[in-house]
Amino acid sequence: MDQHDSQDTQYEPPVVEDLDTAEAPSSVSGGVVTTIG
Amino acid sequence: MRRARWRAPATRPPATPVGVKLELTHACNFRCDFCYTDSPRHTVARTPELSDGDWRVIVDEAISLGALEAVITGGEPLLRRDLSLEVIEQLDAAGVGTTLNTNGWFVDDDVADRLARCRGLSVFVSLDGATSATHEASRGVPGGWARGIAAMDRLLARDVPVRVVHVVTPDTESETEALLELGWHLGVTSVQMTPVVPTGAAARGGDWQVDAPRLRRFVERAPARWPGMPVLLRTGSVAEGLAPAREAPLGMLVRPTGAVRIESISPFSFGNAARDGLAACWRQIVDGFDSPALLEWDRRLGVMGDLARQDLVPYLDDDVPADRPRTSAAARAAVLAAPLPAKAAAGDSGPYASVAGAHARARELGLSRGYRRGAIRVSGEHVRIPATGAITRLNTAALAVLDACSPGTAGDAVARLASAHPSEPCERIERDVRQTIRSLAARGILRPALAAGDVPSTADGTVDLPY
Repeated sequence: MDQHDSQDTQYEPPVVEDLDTAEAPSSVSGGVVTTIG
Repeated sequence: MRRARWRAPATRPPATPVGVKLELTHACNFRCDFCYTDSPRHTVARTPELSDGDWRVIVDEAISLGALEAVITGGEPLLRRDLSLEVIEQLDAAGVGTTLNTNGWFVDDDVADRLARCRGLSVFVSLDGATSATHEASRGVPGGWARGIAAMDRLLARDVPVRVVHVVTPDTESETEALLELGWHLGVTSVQMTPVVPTGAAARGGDWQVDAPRLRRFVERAPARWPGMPVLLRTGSVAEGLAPAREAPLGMLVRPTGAVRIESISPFSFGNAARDGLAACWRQIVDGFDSPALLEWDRRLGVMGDLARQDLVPYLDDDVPADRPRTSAAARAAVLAAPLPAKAAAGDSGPYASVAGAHARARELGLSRGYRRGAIRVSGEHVRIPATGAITRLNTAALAVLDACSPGTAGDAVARLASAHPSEPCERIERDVRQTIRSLAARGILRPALAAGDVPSTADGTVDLPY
């Protein structure tokens, strides 16, 4: 592994996750719909 | 060929039309052999059409009648540029959901700016091939591909939804897959694949059959392959088996002459909008849409499944009053003998004539498009969109994309991730960034830099909120 590679962290693809806000504004409770990208 | 079983309409039309389709002009600068409105013939013939004043009265009446949706079409409606823009703005201001059908040729920055201020507008842009060679052979005008692609880019840069209409013919279907890939890179909103409907010019002849099962497979695979870009297949086409208009009319179509029809695939006219007024024409539709003669035409269509073999063909038989649903052999012969404009010879060998060159152009435009933050509030990895109340969580890479685009381009975001992960294939990063930008833009977290309206973000991307 050369120095260049050693600086490369593990690539984790972008994740955009909608939280459950059905009872908003006081009940955010974790992700229910996950969309990669 | 699959065909729907014909049945008479079981419902009645509403008291007022829900939608209006306005063909503002016969004229078109393109030369498509399959033109369902036979616009090339009318362009040569300079067929008379309503004045701007007539159209203003019709649009006023459509709004006062309560129309909820409108389609502005032609011909090429932007050949009547000022009229098209004026009525689109008027309809949009009244809350009417409006669609513009265009080949894109005349969409310059000024047109795009005005359209971008109409927040309920979608623009349908024609694109028949991934490459300039195929598109221009289909449309008959050199330069049409680049003008169309530039129009889409101008509109997308201003946050105007762009829906590609891809007419699929035996000459274009080999590039359908490459066209879908191009549309995704360019960032278009959706692609509608439309096999030819044999009315108008297409009814003169020709083989329009295409591989419909292959098109259906594109639809099925689109969510995984081109995420965020719905791919639709228009039904009721020659490849699907034509179903007659079996439902009661919900809307009405106004021809450039003012003649009113129910829809594009029905040849019968119910008065003239300029002479009689839209309300009176709608009453004629309500009273007469299910007359025995019209239902018989409908039934034959259901049995035959081919519009071109009907005794009355929409847009070849120009004026067929619903109360006298006949045309003469002489009239049909005159239409078939009418001169048509010549198509330019195919043979484009420019940089976009190959799939590789065309894709490179779409990627270049997509990557150079600028973005800014929408009206959002950011807290660490969480984003709240006040307009909807939604809260979204972004992981590190998604936050990097948001940051690089606030403001910045898709290319900036690719560079940011590629720099952090130099051993990751750039092609993968580019696809991930494009998908992420689609995802963020769909939620209003990012907006194209030239979008109209919206509350400008402050330096840190957080807007002044009303609490």
